[in-house]
Amino acid sequence: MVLVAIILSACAPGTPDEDSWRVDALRSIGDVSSSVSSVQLALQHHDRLFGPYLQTVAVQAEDAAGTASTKLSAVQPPEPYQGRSDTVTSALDDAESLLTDARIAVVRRDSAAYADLVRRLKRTGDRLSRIEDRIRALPDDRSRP
Amino acid sequence: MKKLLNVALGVLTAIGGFVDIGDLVTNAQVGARFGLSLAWVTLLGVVGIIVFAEMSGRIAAVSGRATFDLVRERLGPAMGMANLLGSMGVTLLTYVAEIGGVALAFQLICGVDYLLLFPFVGALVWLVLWRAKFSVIENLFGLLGLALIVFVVALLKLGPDWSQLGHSAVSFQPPKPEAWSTWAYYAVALFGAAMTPYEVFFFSSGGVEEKWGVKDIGVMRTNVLLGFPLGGVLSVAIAACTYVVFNPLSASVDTLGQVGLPVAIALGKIGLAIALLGFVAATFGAACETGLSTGYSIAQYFGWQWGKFVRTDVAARFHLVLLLSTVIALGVLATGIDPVQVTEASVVFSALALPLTYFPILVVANDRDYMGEHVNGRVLNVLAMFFMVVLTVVALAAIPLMIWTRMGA
Repeated sequence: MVLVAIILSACAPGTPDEDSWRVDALRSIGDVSSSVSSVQLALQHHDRLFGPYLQTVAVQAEDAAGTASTKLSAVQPPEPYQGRSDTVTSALDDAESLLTDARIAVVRRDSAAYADLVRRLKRTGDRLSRIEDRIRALPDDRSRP
Repeated sequence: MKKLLNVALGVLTAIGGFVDIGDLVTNAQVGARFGLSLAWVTLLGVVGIIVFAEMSGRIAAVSGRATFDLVRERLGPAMGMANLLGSMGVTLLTYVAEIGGVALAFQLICGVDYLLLFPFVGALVWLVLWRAKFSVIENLFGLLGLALIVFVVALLKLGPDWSQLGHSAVSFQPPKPEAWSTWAYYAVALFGAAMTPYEVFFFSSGGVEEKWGVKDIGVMRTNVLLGFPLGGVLSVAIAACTYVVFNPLSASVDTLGQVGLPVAIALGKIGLAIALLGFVAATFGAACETGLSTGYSIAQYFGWQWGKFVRTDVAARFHLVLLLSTVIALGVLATGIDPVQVTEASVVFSALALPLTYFPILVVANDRDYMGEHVNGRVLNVLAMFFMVVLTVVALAAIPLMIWTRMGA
C-alpha cells in the first residue's frame, strides 16, 4: 500500500503547470506568513516566555521560512506568472531576512529591539497576506500588474 | 478504599496517557486552520477507542493472554502476519515520532537543537524500558501527562467567544478558504491520532502484565469510560487554544513551540512550565508505550516469552526487539527528518492500518471458546460493526487524500 502511495505520488502533476505553481506559491506564502505571525506573537509576549523557548520558536520559524522559500524558488513559474513569481520571491526573501534579524535579536537577548521588530513583522505579514489574496484570485486577474 | 484508589489512578493515567505527539500536533494544526469544525472527529475517535480498548482489555482479563497471541491462534499465521506487519509498521513510525517529540520538547526547555538531543533521549527511553517497572512506566508518565490540563485552564483564561467556538464545533464544514479535501484529510489524520493502534496493544498487554482477571473488568471499564473521554477533552482544548490564538492571524501550526504559545500568552511562565512538563511526560510516556508495543507485538506473534513481569534474561528476545526498535528509530531520526513530519505521516498511516488492527480483536471478542460468557453483547457488536465500516472508509480514503491534498497543503 505504501509502495502504491509512493508510485501514485510520482504521478502527481509536475511543474511548470499553472495551477501547480499557484498551489506551490500559496503553500510557501502560507508557511512563511505563519512563521512571521508566530515570531511576531512570541516577541509581543516575550516576557511570558523562557529564553530558550523564545529562541527555539525564532530559530524554527526562520528554518521553516527558509525551507518554504527555497522550495518555491526551485519551481520554474509558467510564462504568464513570471511577474507574479518575482513579486512573491521578493516578498518571501524580505520576510526570511526579517526573521533572521529577529532570531539574531533573540539570541542576543536584545529586548530593546523587539518592539520595532514586531512592527516590521506585522507589516511583512500584511504584505504577504495581500499577495496571497491576489494569487488566490488568479487566474481571473492574471493580466493585472 | 484500595479499589477506589486503583480506579482513580487508572482514570488519571488514561487521561494523561491519551495525548501523545500525534494528538498534540494534529489537534493544534486542526484548531489553527479549521477551528472546532472537526471536534466531532475527536468525539468519534474517543468512542471508537473506548469500544475497542474495552474489548481488548476484556480479552486480556478473561483469557489472560494478549492480542497478538490470540490473533495468530484464532485467525491463523497469514492473517496474524498481515495484522503484525500493518500494526508494527505504524507503531514503529509512531515510536520514531515520539522519540523525536521528546527531543523537541527538551529543545524548548534548554534551547539545544533536537538533533543533538535525540540520541540521549533514545538511550534514556531504552534504559527505562529495560530497567523500570511496568507500573512506573504506566503510572508516572500518565500522571505527569495530566499537566496538559493546563490547556483547559489556558482556554478559560484566553476568554474566547464561546458562541463562536460553539458555532465552529457544529458547523461540520471547512471554514473559508479551506477546501473540502483538505478538511477531509485532517479528519482522517485526527481519527488516526485518536485511534492509534499501539494504544490498544499497550492496554491489553498491560492487562496481562498486571495479571488482570475477570474481577478486574469493572475497574478496567471505569478507566476506559472515564479516562479516554477526559483525554478527548484535553485534545479539544488544545485545538480550541490554537484556534483562538492563531486563527485570527491566518497562521498554521507546524512546530511544538507554536503549540505551547497560547498557554504562555494566557498563563505566563508558570503555565508554560506546566505545559512543557506535560509535553515531556506525554511524549516520553508514549515513547515507552510504543517501544513496548513493538516488543509485545513481535514476541506475542512468535510465541516468545515477553513482558516486564518476567526477568530480563527470561525474555531476552523481547528485550532485543526493544533495543533494535530503538536503534532503528534513532537511525531514522539521524537522517535529519523533521519529527513533526514523521508525526503527520504516522497518524495518516495509522488510519490506513486501523481495520487490520481492530478486526481481529472483534473476532476474538466474539469467540465463546476464549471469552465464555464475556463475549460481546448485541449492542456492542452493532457499535463495533459501525466502527468497522468507518475504519474501512477512513483507511481507503487516507492515501488518496494524502496525495490529492499534498499532505494537507
